[in-house]
Amino acid sequence: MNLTDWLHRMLALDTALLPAPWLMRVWLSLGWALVSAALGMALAARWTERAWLRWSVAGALALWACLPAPYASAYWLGLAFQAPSVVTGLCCALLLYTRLRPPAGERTAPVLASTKAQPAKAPKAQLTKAPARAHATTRRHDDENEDEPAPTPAAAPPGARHGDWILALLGVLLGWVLLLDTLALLPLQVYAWGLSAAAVALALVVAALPWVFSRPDAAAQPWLAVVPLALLLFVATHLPSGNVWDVLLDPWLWVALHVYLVRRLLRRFFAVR
Amino acid sequence: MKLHPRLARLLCVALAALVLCALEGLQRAPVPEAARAQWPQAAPALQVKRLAPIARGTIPMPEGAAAAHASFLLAMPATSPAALTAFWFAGERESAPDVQIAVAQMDRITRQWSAARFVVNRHTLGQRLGFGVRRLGNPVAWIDGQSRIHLLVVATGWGGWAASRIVHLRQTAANDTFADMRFEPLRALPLSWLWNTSFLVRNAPLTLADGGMVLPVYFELGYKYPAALRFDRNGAFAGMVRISRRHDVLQPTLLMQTPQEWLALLRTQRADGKIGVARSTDGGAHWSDGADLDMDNPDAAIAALALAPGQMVLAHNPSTHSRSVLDLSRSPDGLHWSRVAALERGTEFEEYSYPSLAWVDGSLCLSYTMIRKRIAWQCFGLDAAPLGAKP
Repeated sequence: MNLTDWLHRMLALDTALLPAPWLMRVWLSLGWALVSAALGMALAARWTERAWLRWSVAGALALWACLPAPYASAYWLGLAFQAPSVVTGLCCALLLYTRLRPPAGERTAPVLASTKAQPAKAPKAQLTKAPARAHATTRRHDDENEDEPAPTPAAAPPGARHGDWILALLGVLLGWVLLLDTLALLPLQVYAWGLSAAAVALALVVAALPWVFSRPDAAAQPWLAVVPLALLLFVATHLPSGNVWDVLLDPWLWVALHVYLVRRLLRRFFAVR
Repeated sequence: MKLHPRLARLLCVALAALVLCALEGLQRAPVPEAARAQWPQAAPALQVKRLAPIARGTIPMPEGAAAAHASFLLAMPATSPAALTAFWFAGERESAPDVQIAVAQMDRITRQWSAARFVVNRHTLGQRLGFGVRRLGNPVAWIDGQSRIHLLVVATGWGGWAASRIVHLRQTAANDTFADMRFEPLRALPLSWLWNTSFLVRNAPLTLADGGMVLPVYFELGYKYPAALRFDRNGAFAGMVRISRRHDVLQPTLLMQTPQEWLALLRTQRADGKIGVARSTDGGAHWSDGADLDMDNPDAAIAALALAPGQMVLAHNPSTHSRSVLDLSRSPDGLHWSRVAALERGTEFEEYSYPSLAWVDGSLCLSYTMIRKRIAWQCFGLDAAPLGAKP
């Protein structure tokens, strides 16, 4: 195979590879189980400090998603929304993981921010970083989660938190493009591009840019690994639909990213004033 | 030599992207050749103007079904004892919770239809898919390279028809007898980012020379536009292409002029309803919109079929406001049509709509909805040749 043939194969839009039907069913349950558990955990954290109770709520909701159809919550959520994106699922898994093993005050570990003003299905928006200097001074006390160690106000390297809003902004822009494409309001056929092999590489490069251009001495940021990990899972399984865009973003995650960016802008605005 | 850390990161990312891309590419099938459509089994000297009616009637309904709509006729292979298989949705009424997909077969020798039975139920479909299905709608069928019937069915999510998805089912075993015919759901085809909603299917696929097919589908959430899906000879989804840049056309029916020159005739949603047209000259890879046909259409489904070079037929409602009249027209090029048969002449409040065409054993057969209660059928032959004779 010469280079031209290889490029042709990478760019082809008519060689789609879809996930096995049984894998799609597994992800439907698993994905909604992760989302349900993370949401349950976040909501339970609003009204109880007992860890066992929070985990019970999260576990029960996860279990509910995995029941046989039609008793499973995933059956009804799938009716309306199909399966969540892999990025949404991984974000929720990371959120749960940080609850299981709370970081000991490291400024780089993900913490659960306030869920007060967030929509019911906004897992990505809940994933944020421990505050950098400016952020730490502006965040309200009740925004902090009660059972998390107080974030260290020590100076985080400038730019350490830049990656998250850049990724969020990219997600918002991608969502708008996909929405307009769905309604055929663009001259291009962007969703169909997601069926090509080259879209995987493009997504990885774009998603890695915040890491590439972050300060070399910035500490490791586990959430930056979510997109590459999701793409790796996609190459292995082609979940959730065989289209790369469905791996990266679903409409609920897109809504959540809007909320996250607006909150961040408002904080910045009031901090400046 | 020490690289700048950011340059080193960039190189790492580029390398990782290349590796992922290569891994992904290695798993994929080779790029298929440009699509070339295949003529149905038509006699080279076929003249549509010689078509003569040979039989007509109604297809038996499943027990207890009061309403029927959106039938689809599938021409069966010559080895099958059945000449035609008809699929449609039936139940208490359109969009009722009890609507299921019904099937019946016409015997190749006796020309009698079997008793109808249900083959797709939304409850069992939802359980097998893992997610719920609110309602069932239009079915479309196709036979793959392994003689298995693939069924593509409209299944709604949370909402009405605009919240539909296309569910892909496949016959569990090829060459099953009618009584044993079963379908296993594979998946909802991934066609839209917006919770995969609002794509529907209605008209017949175009069979390709490589054994695959191109399936016309349409989006109808607010804006309405058609698209074409390509499948390989095993029925695996390969890709999608938008057919038109217009936002008021739906339910495309594909018509081949030559193996690579295709027309898409489109139902339009306009007060002065005409039949819309889009054209491709490269086997469906790219499409351009054309001028509407000078044919009235009351925002109703049409069905077209190219039987042989220069021999095309179209079943349609030739009115801007009513579905009470159903005609069969012919054309040498797909753009200029003349009526060859009046299929139905109903009263103002009667409806004869949603035609489906199939070419089998040298006969042209069609089915259509009759007053939303039954599925009617008619067959036309070359000089009234009996159905069952070899072409």
